[in-house]
Amino acid sequence: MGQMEIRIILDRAEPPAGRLRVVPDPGHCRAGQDEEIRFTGWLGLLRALYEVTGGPGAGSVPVP
Amino acid sequence: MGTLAPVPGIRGRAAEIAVLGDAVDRVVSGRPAVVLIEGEAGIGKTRLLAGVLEDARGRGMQVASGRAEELERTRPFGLVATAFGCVRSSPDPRRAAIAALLATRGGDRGPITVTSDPGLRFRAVDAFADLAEELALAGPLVIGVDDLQWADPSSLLTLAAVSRRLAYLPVALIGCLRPSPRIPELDRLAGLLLDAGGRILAVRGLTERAVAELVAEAVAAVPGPGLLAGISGAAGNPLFVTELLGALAQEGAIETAGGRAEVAEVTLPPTLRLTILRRLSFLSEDTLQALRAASILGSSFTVTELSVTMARPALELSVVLAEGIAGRVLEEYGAVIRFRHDLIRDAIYEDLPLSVRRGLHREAGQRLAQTGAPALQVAEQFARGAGQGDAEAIGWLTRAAREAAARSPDIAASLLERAAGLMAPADPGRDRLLAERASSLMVSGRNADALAACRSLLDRDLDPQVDGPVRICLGRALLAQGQVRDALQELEQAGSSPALPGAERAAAWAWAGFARMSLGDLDGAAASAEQARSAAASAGDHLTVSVAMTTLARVSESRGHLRDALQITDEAVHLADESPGRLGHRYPIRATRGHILIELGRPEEARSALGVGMRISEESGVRWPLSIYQVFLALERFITGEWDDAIAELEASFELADEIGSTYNHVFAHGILSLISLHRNDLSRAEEAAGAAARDLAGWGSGYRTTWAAWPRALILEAGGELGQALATMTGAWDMCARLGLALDYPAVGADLVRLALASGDMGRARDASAAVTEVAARNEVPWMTGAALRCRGLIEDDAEILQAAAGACAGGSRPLGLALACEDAGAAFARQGRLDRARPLLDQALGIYERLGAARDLARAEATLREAGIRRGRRGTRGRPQIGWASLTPAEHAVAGLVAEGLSNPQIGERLYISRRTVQTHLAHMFAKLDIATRAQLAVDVTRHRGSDPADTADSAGG
Repeated sequence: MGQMEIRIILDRAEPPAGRLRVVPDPGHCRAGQDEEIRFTGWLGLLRALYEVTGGPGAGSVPVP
Repeated sequence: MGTLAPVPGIRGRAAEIAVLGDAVDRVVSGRPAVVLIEGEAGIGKTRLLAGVLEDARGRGMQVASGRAEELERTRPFGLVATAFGCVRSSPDPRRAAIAALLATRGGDRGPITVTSDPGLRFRAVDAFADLAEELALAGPLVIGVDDLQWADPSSLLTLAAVSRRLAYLPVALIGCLRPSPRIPELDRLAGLLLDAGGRILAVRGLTERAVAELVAEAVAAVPGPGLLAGISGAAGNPLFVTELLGALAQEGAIETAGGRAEVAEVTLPPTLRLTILRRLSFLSEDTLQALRAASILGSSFTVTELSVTMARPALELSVVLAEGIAGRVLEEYGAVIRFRHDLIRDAIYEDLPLSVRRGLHREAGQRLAQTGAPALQVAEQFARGAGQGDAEAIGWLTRAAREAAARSPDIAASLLERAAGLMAPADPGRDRLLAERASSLMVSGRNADALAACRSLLDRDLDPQVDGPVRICLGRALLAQGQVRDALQELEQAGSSPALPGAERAAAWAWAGFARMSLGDLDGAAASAEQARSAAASAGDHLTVSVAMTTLARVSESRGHLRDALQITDEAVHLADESPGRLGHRYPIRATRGHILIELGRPEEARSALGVGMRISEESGVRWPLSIYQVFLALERFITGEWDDAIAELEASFELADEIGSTYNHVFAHGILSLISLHRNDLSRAEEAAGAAARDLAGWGSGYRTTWAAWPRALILEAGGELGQALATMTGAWDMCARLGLALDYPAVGADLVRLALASGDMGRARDASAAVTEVAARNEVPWMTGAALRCRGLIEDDAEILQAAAGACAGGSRPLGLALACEDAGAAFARQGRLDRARPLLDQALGIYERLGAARDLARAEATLREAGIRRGRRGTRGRPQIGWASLTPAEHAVAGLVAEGLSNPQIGERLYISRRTVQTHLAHMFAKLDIATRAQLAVDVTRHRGSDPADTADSAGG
């Protein structure tokens, strides 16, 4: 996996809540990369990260 | 989920396991053991406890185990009910009966009032202690309780009672607790257990070596330096270590090659909570949602509860939860599912935003309420989901408080506080709830908190309907603390409030009467009590009728009209017998009746009345009068010459008084102890007890107990050669009695006052005292009083014949000390006249009695009289008991020992002998010290060995 820039915008810090999106790389544009994923809690943040990175826990993004 | 290591075995805890093994070994050898395992969350306390319990089971011992839960802190007796398996469906009738008792609905019929009944709570405590004792008598028992920091106050109280009761039985009490949070009840329990020889087992982080072993076992390979360096961030906390390993394994970060496990790069989360969440993040979303909902329910839950709160079919949830169980997030525990560790539940719970948590709690509360869940469970959910002014939450908390009030008034107080906290300060209902809270605090024995709560309420302008009950509550709390004058002021103010309902007003008057009696204001006490009796009878308040009539009886008794007093108590007992639920007996009428019978010289009847009254108090769970009964039983034992047994009763009463925070009658108790010690020539103990009596008296304000502080003090001063001060002390008390009309004390102390007055040359004082004693004696025609009156006269007139007549009168009664003193005086008088043939038998009789009583001081004095008169002592009677060995046991101790050998429990022995369980316990403690043994089993062996060789062994047990 190459480098990827992820931007996390926090509406609240603890437990965290906000949005996450991959910053589009002009050279390697992939479909869906400009979509924001909302998350709540550390669990939500981790799972959102897995979603965009295709990590081991990737699946549906939790929104409690 | 990725590959997870199996749960590793316990590592690096050899020292801790040895301590716990010793505890079990002690129990196997018939002795008790207490260990408190203390350490931070995740440090391995639960696993140590599980290990020792497994060991105990493996050795065929009985095990009672339970775990307290954070969200169940308001469930009265929750922990102990779980530990002892007390459910309605239990095949064991004892356990089922306790469950039925706990299911009794308490205070949901209305507000908690100042007459709320704490009886149910203490009945439950006693029932648990009885069960534990019966189990322990059948064989070794290990009680294991986890997470004591979350235990409800009633469970902690029960564990304290159990530990006291089981001091000589093969029982281990092993509890786990975190250093925080600590509620006062837990501190009290811990203090009590440690004072009784328990030990703290502090569990700290694992050593590096133990961590390496644990990691090696989990990854099934030798951990490399990188892995160990990363794991070192867990500071030796085993849960942290395993959670970290789990997270790393799931991320595929651990590479194993050539039997060595290593991580390429360690990027560890900063905290255990994040580590746990990191591991959980690999679960499916469906399972995570279920875990979030479950975390709202607490550390454990049933599938049904989760199904209700999530509105999802139970079958569907079972499948979802299976993933959590497989991933070692949850575990099955009997009928419930629980988070593998509280910290796992906390991590999930705290990862929910506050607003979401509140919403989920509220929703859970609503759904649980719809299914008819217990009010406490519903209220807990509503309370956690509530915002300011949430009427639904306030309503549920109030309902739950009233339901809990009878079983656990302190939980009721806490729920009411939370309800009031949700109300706006201007809400008119808030003060009412706070007033109820104050009542609960007082009933639970938290007097200082009750006082503060009442005072805080009274600082503002209260609704008159609230003001009265709060003042009554304040008055009673002040009375319990011995601040009688302040109490009286509040009670009178409450009684004069026109807004107060009839029954409450009657209660205010009745307690005001009680306060006046304590201050020695007999006329005022009688007036208040009459007023209260009439109002309470009209209002149908049977308890208040008993309070008022008992005060009237005490007034008559104190004035020296014993038969009138007895008649009043007869009527009061009759009314209480007829009252619904025998409510009138919740006040200790029979204590007063027993005291009157003692004064009337009818000790057997007194003992029976006191025993029955104490039994009723125990059965109804009203504990505060128990120490009063014990003090009067001690008085009876003192007067009838069983001084060791009197001391046992006194010690039991002091212990109970400390436990329930009631110092009522302490002056009396210390006075008796001081007198016994003085007669036995133990001047330092006499001095100490007299000092305690004086301090207690100062707390209560001068009143009708003055004599019991002054009398021993005067005799101690006399013993020290300070005759003038002795007389001054005695006359001070006497004059106060005269001023207040407390004539009952005259016959008891009159002869000593006459003696001191004559020795000081104050014939006028001697004659006045003698006249007063004669008047009371003539009114009551009781042998010991007649004897006292004759003795006073004989001393003043130095008339040996009158003194012998005094001895003759005393011989018709049951007060050996009084008889011996009269004999000694008569013998000395005859000796002074040179009539040695008359002197000798009298002095011999006195000496014999002194020897039997162990009254060393009196014995020495009487022997000196003999020597001075040149009389050789006649045939010696039975010498006093030795200090140690079988022959040192008192009649009551013999009776207790015999019943122990028959396998009876303390409550059963108490029931047979008309003494309290505590007194049985005190007798056991004395016997164990005298016989140098440590268990009931050894005592039973001793009884068998001596059976038949000592006539005392075959004495009628009930004869005491």
